[in-house]
Amino acid sequence: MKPHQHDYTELRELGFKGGLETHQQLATSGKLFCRCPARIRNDEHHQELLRHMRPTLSEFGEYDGTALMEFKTKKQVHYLLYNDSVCTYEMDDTPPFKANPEAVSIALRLAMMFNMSLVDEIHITRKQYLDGSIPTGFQRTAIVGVNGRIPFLGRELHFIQMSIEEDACREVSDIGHHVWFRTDRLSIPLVEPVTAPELQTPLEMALAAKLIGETMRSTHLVRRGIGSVRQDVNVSIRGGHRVEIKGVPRIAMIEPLCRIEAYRQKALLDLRADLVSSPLRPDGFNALPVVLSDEQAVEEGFPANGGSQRTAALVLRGFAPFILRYMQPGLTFLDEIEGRVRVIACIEGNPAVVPGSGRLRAALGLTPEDAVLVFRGTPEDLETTGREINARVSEAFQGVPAETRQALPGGRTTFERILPGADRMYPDTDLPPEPITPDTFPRLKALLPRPPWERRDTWRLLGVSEHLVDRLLNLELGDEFETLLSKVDWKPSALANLLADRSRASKRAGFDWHGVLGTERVIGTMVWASERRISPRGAHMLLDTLSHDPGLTLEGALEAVKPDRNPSVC
Amino acid sequence: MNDDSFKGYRNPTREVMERLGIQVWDDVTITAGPNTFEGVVLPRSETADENHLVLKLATGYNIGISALKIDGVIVKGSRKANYHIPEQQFPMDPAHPRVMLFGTGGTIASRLDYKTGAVIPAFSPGELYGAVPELADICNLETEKLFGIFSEDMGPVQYKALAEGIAREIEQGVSGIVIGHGTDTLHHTAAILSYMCQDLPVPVVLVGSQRSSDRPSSDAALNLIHATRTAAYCDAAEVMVCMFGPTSDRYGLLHRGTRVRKMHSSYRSTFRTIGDRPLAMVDRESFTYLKDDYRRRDASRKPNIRPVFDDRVAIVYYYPNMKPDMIDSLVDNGYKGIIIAGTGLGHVNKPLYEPLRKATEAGVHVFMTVQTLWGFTQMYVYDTGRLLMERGVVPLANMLPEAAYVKLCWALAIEDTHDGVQKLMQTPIAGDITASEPPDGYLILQGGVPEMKDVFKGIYR
Repeated sequence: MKPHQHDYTELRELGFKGGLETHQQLATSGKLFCRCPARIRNDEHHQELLRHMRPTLSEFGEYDGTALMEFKTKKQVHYLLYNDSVCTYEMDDTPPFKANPEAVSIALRLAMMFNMSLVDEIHITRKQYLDGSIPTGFQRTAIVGVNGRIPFLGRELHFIQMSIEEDACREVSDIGHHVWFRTDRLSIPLVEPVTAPELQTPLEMALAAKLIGETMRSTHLVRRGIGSVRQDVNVSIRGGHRVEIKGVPRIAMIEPLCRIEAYRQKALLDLRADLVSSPLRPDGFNALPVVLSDEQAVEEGFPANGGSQRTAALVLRGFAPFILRYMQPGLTFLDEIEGRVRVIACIEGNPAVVPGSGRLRAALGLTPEDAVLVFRGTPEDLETTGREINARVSEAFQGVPAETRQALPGGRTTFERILPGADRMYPDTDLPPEPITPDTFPRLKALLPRPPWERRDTWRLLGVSEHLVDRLLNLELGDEFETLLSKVDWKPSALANLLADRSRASKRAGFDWHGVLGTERVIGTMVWASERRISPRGAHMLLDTLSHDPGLTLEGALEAVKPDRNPSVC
Repeated sequence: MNDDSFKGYRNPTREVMERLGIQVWDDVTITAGPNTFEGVVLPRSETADENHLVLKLATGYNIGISALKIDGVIVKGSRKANYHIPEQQFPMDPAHPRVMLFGTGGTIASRLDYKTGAVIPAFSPGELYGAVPELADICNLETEKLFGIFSEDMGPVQYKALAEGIAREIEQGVSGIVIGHGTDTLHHTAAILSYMCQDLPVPVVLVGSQRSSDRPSSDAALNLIHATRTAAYCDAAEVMVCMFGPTSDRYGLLHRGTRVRKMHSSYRSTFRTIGDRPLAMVDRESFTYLKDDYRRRDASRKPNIRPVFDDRVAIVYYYPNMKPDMIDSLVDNGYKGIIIAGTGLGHVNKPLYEPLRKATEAGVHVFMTVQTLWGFTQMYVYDTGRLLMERGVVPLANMLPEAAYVKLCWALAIEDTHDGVQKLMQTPIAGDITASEPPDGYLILQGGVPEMKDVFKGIYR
C-alpha cells in the first residue's frame, strides 16, 4: 500500500468519514457459550436441522427494520451438524452455559491494549440476526470496554467500544428460499473493537485496520489464519448515509472498497438531485408486475411459464434515463435494484432482473422514457419483487439507503440487508449479569505485553528495520527480543533478523524451533551461543540441528555443525 | 423521588444514586477514576447483586459499573422505555370456526420485564395477531386469561378452573379450545383434564413453547398455529398436547393427554407419546392421523365434566435402599393414596413390604407404575411382584406415573368407596392404559451406531 497511490482531495471535500469494526477470533480451545471444541470442519456433516426466523419486539417495544425485511424473505434455514464437535447449544436446543472464562479474560486484556474503560459487570445481550446465520436468531454479545484510544498517525484513534461475542455459522450456499449453514464456527469466541467514525481517507481505514490487528496479535491471544479476522467497514460521505460493508477478510481490500463506496454514495446523491428536479415523484412508482405469456417469457430470455414459476414485467414510468446510470465501476442503478430483490424476494436467475426487450416495450406501449424490468418467480415472489423494485426506486429520491453491503471482487459491493439499528438489541434472559472481581483488572494488566507502538518506537531507535519490526510484533518469539537484547552480544538488527526472518525461513524448511524446542530452550540456545562468541548465523544452524534432533545437547549440536566462530560477524 | 426512581437498586448502589442525584431512565455521563461511561440508567433486576449500576449504551448494549467507583455524574436528560406490543384488531371472518384460547401463564408473544429480567406475555387477540398474523387465516380467535402463573405452580385450583372454562365454552358452541401452558407440567394438566373432561364434542389442545417467544427461533408461533388449526379443524375430540414433532420447524405432533410426557429439559421436540404412537401429525396444511381409535368430533355430543380433585396423594419414586419411614410418614400424614414408580416391572425392596402392608390395611390406596416409563408393570414375573400384590399393592399396567397420580386424585374425589376407587383406577380412561404396546411404540434411537448414519440422512432432526 503506497500512500501516494491515490489523491484523496476530492474524497475529503465530499466529507468522507469511516469507521471499523474488527471481528477477531480468540485463541481459546473451546467455544464461548458451550463446551464444544472451537474447530472448523470441512468434511461431510452428519445431521441437518430446518428452521425459520420470525422477528420479535425489541426491549423498547419496536420491531427492527432489518428483522422485518428478513422475515419477508421467508427463508428455509438448514443447519449442518457434526455429531462429534457440536452440541445441542449450536442446535438452539439447550440454553447457553456460562461464558468461557478464558475468552472473557482474553477480551478484557485486549480491551486494556486499547486503553478502554472496562466494565465491572458483563451483561450478555442478544443482537438479532434473522438471516439464519445463528440458530437462535440472535448473537450473544457483551461489552467489555468503552472509550478506548491508541496512538495513530501522530494523533489518536478512538474506540467506541469492544464487545465479546460468539461467531456465527458459516454459510454454505444460498439458493432462492433455501440457505445452508455449517454450525462448526458458531460460538467460537470473538472480540469486536469498534472505532469512532473518524477516519478521513480510505488509506487511513486500511492503516487503522492494520494497527488494530497488530495490537491484538501482539498479545498472542488471538487466532491467526484465513477467516480469523473479518472487518466490517463503515463509510459515509456528507449528505449520504452510513453503509456497512460486512466481513472483509483482507486489509488490502479495504482501501478500494472505501473509495468505491464513497463514490457510489456520490453517484446516488447526484441521482437524487436529478430525480428531485425531474417531474417524477417518489410516490409515483406503484405499478404491479404483469405476468408475460410463454412466448414473451422465452423472448425475454426466460423459460416458459411452468410449475409455480412465472415470468413478469414491471414498468417504471419515466425512469429510463436513470436506470442504467453507473453507481460503481461497471455497475448501474439496475444492479442496485437487482441486488436488493435477489435478497429480499429470493428470486433466482443471473442476473435476476433484466431490462425488457424492444419488442416487449412495444407490446406494452412504452415511451422511450419508460423503463421495464423482467424477472421470474412464484406469484408470491413476483409480488414481493414488484414491491421492492418500486420501493428501491422511491428511495432513490432520498439518496443513500442505510444498507449492509457485501464485498465483491475489485472493491465493488452489492446489497446484503437493510442496516440494523439499536432496536435489535435485547438483554439475554438466559444468563445473569456476570460481575468481574475487582482484583481481576490488576492481575490481567500485569500479563499484558508492552503496546506495539511503544515497542516499535524503541526498536526503530535500535536500528531494527520496519520490515523486521512488523515481523517481530507478529511472532510469539518476537516477545523475547527485548529480554534477549540484554543477554546476547549481537547487534539488535542481527538478533531481530534471527528471531524473525531466520526462524521463519527455518520453519518453512521444516525446522520449527519454537514448536519443537519451546521458548525457554530457544532463548537458552541463543544466549549460550552468544556467550561462546558464535554468530547469529551459527546460532541459526545450532537451532536447526536441535530442532531436527531435540535429543542432542548443545555441545553435541555444536560438534555437529562446526559453526563459524569468527567474532567479526557479531 | 419515589421507589420507582431506583427500581430494583439496593444499597450501596442506591445510596450512591441518591447522593449523585441520578435515577432510573436518566441519560448520564459517569466518571469512575480515569474511566467514562455514557448511557441511560436502567432498572436493576432484583435477583442481581447490589453493587452495580446498569447503563444502556447508545449502541443498545447494557453494561454494569461498580457503584462505589463512581466519582462524577452529568445528567443530560431522561429516556424512559415505552413498551407496547403492536396491537391490531383481530380480523373476524364469519366463515371461520370460533376458537377459544385460555391463558395460564406461558408466553406466546412477550416483552421484557426489567424488574425480574423475565418476559411478560402478550395475550389479547390483537396482541397475538400483531405477533402471529397467520392466526387470522385459521380461525376467529378469542382469548381469556384464566391465570398468570408458571407451569410448576399449577395445581387443583387451576385444573378445576380450566375444566369449568372448557365446560362453559363447549356450552357456547366453540369449535375447539386451546390452552396456553408452560411446558414443565403440561403433561400433568393434560392428564387431569383427560379425566375431568370426558366425552368431549370438540378438541381441547394444550400448547406451550420450549424457546420463549421473544426469540426469533421460537417454536411458540408455529406451535400456536398448529394448536389453533387442531382446535378448529382436527377430527379428534380429545384432550391433546400439540408440540413440535422433530426439533426442526416441520410439523407438530398431537399426543393423547394421558400418554404424553416431557422427556428433555430443553429440546423443542421434548413431548413424546410413551408406549404408543401419537394421535396425529399437524402442519400448516393438513392432519395425518397415526391412530384410528380416537373419539371423532361431534358438536352434538354432551361432555361429561367432573372438575374434582383430592390432593392427598403422593408419587414415590423408588430408589435402592429406600427406608420404610418414607411410606410410614405418608400414611401418618393422612395421605389417601400412593403411586409408586417402581423399578423394572414394578418392584421395591423388602424393607418396604411391611410399611406397604400397613398402609393398604389402613385403607391407603397403593398403586404400582414403572419408572422405566415404557412398558407394563408385570408383577407376576418375579416373587417380589407377587409378594407386593399380596400386601395390597395394585399394578396399573402401562399407566404413566404422572397420569396415575392425577387420576387417583380425581378418583378419590369421584368415588365414595374404597372398591369404587380401585375399580375406577384400573378402568382404562382416555387411553391411559392400553391393551398392548405396538412394536413402534418404543423408539429411542442411539447415536454413534453405524446404521444411524442412514437414518440421519433421510430426516431433519
